[in-house]
Amino acid sequence: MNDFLISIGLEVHVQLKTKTKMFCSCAVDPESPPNTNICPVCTGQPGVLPVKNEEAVLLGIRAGLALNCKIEKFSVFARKNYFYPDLPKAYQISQYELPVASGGYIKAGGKKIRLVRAHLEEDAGKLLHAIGSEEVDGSLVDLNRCGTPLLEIVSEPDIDSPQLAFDYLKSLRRLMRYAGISDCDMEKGSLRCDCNISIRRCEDEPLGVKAEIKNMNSFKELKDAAAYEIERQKKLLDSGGKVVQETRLWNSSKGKTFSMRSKEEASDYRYFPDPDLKPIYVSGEMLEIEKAGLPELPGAVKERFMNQGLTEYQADILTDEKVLADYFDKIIAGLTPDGQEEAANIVISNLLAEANQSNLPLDAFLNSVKPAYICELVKFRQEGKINKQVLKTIFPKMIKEQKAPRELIKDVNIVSDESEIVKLVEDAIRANASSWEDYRAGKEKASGRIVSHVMKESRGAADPATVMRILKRMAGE
Amino acid sequence: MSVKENIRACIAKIKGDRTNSFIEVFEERALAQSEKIDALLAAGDESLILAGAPVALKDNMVIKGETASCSSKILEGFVSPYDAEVVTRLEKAGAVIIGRTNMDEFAMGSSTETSAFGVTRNPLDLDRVPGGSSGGSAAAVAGGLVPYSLGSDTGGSIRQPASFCGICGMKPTYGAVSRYGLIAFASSLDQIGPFAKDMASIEKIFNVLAGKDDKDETSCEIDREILRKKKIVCGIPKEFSGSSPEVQELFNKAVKKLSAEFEIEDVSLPSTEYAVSIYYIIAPSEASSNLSRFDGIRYGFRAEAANLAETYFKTRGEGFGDEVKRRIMLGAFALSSGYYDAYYMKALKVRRLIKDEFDRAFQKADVIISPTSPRTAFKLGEITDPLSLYMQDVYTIPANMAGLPAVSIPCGKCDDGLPAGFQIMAPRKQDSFLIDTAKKIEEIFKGE
Ligand SMILES: [Zn+2]
Repeated sequence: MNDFLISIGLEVHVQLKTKTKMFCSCAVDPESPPNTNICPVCTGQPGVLPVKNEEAVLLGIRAGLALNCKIEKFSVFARKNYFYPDLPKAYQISQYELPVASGGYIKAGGKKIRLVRAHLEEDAGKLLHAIGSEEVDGSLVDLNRCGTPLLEIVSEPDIDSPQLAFDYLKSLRRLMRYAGISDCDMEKGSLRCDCNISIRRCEDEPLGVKAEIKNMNSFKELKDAAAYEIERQKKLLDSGGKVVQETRLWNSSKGKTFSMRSKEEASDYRYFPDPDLKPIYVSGEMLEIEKAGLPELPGAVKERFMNQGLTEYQADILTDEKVLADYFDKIIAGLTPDGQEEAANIVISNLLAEANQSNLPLDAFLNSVKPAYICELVKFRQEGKINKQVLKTIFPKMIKEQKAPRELIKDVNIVSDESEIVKLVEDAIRANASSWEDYRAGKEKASGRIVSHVMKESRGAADPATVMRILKRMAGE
Repeated sequence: MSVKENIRACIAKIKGDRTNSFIEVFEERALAQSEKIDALLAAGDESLILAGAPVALKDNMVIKGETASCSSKILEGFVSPYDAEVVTRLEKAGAVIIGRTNMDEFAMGSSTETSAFGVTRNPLDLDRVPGGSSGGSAAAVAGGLVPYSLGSDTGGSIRQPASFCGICGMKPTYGAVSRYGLIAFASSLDQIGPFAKDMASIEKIFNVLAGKDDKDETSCEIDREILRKKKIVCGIPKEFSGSSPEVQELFNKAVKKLSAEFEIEDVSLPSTEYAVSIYYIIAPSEASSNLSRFDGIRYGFRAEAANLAETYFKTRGEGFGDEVKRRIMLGAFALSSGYYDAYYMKALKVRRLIKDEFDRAFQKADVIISPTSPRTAFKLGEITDPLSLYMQDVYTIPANMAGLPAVSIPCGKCDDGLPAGFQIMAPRKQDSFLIDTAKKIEEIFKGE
């Protein structure tokens, strides 16, 4: 009875990475003091006219290509009419019947999530409610954000779990960041996500009545809100109730969704083509130029890394951020192919751990670590000059002191002279004669005692792999 | 006489005006600009096409630091933070912007009776309307207060008052003059154009105004080359036949005068029968959206209210006049979901048909001629029924629907002693050819 099919569709807004606003030349800068990046156009003064930002249009086209959409040869801006103090014209310029891109898909969680469309629009301003405050006692409007270019990406309800919603949003973010379309920073509001959820009992039934969930401020909140909403709907249906079509707000501190407005109260936006703007025409030539200019996307990079011998796990992590993938490419350029796996290990276990501990954003952090240093570490590891323990010790120093690994290993207790290790191994064999006999008789596990003896005697300075290699050689003699 | 002296004299004349054509005179600004022009002229600058010429603007074009109101209470106290493109172009050409003129509220009307600043009277007969919506600008030129004024024409708002006041008025090709700074009524139809007493003056000021503007995506360059025809063919649409007997008679006489030099042909524009109907879907639809920004939040009039919703209701309820409210409701209805396809979409299709029919007619005729308005100036308060008022624009609306340039020039007086205009329409972007042809026709009408 409890088995329901889940259908989730996401409506994602990404803020396009343009210098200026969608329809005027004001700067896009969320850090500015209130109402400093405004002009007659974006404050909706009487008589003003919008003029398309070509850069934003190109980013919209590029996004469509990155999302595998069909780029429409002809698309139109439309007015979405509603009253609100953060919307100075009382209409938002968006796209309605003819969006810049349609169809397409995003791969996430091993599935293809189909897209309905991607369309360009402008953002609204912000309201600051200060009712009751001594200075203002009312609401203040900040129009800095007003007119900021956005791309809305609408998925089909192909997502069947909160985890997949999470993965989808991650993939979308990764794509947008790779293609240089948006920073997709949820905290700063350059990535926003609404979630439509419905459930039904079986495949043959039509899609259930959906609820639209808003106000999720992180990837985790999206997952939590979706999970909560699915449970809410399940309980409702199981107890004989009905889901109503409505907008619900996620409250993260309570961990629940609350009804905001039902469909009966929903506005009629009276969309119509904006007569002030000419349609967007995309020529074949323009499309070719945009296609050629598209950077290598995360899927392709991941595939390339796997073809180079990395595991899927490693390739996934290394392609999570474009800056990281680019950085990894710089490292492997200085290595022979057999060093790539060790390089991946060092980047994932050592470099990313340091990055997480630093307060720097990833790109700034990576800028502070020379790829050549990582190459050097890989070579030392391959040559058995340092073991994992030593690597762990010198790694933070390398970053902090900006010193090459070859400088740093001088200061640590490292047994890299093979003859010295041979001596240590001989001592260990003498001290563990029975284990040695067992090992020679073919019991692989018996080597453990000998190796740990060497490690103990060298106080961790010998490389276990080198020790094993010597042990094997001696056993074979 | 210096520009400054001339402007002072002009201001004095405006102050003695009995037609209420001006809402405000920009005395300080005008005198400052005159001094600038005087200095430039003294320095030998001969490049200023409109050096020192006083120009009046309809109250829907904005000037930085000055009030603009669209003759509506809702814009009470609004001072523009920027200049309309036409203001920039006029002042660069040496013109002196002398004041703002009265109009139907938000350009919605054909008589200048819906203004929040009282009616404007026709200088030829003070008991009659000057036409509208650019009635103030037309009356200002006809009354001899200024040599030039600008109006805006969405469905005939320049040509019809020009006809009623016995002067020339031009609605250029859609986009020929930038709309940047024109407070929008119906964006796909609105076009700024000039009034003057003769076509030579229209030509002079039009050349200053016209040209592509990067701030208006819908603006365009017109074709400045004038088609040289051996004999220009004037098409008369047989559907334009609903005029009053005296207007029709005057028009017939005018056509007869032309027939010596021009070839006269019948043309057909069958879909123009629906032009008024679709105009009253398209224009109010766009207006309902364009006028939404007047909400009392950022500028203009704001009613005392307890909360946000009440602020909207009371501000707009008290700020807009009846005709404006009527059209906003009409437009909001036509755009609402469930009705959009039946009204707005269908209207756009008919608009397309009208365009196509004009294209076909222009294969037969070089220009299309008609009376400007089916009747002469009516008495103040004579027409109160909105539908009858709407029908005043039956001959002028088609040019807006097709984006064509059109002029109204005087062609004499009817038996009742009132002037009636003669409308000439040309293909899109053929504004220069239209002006040239209108000048020839004007010569013929004058030469009797
Ligand atoms: Zn701006």
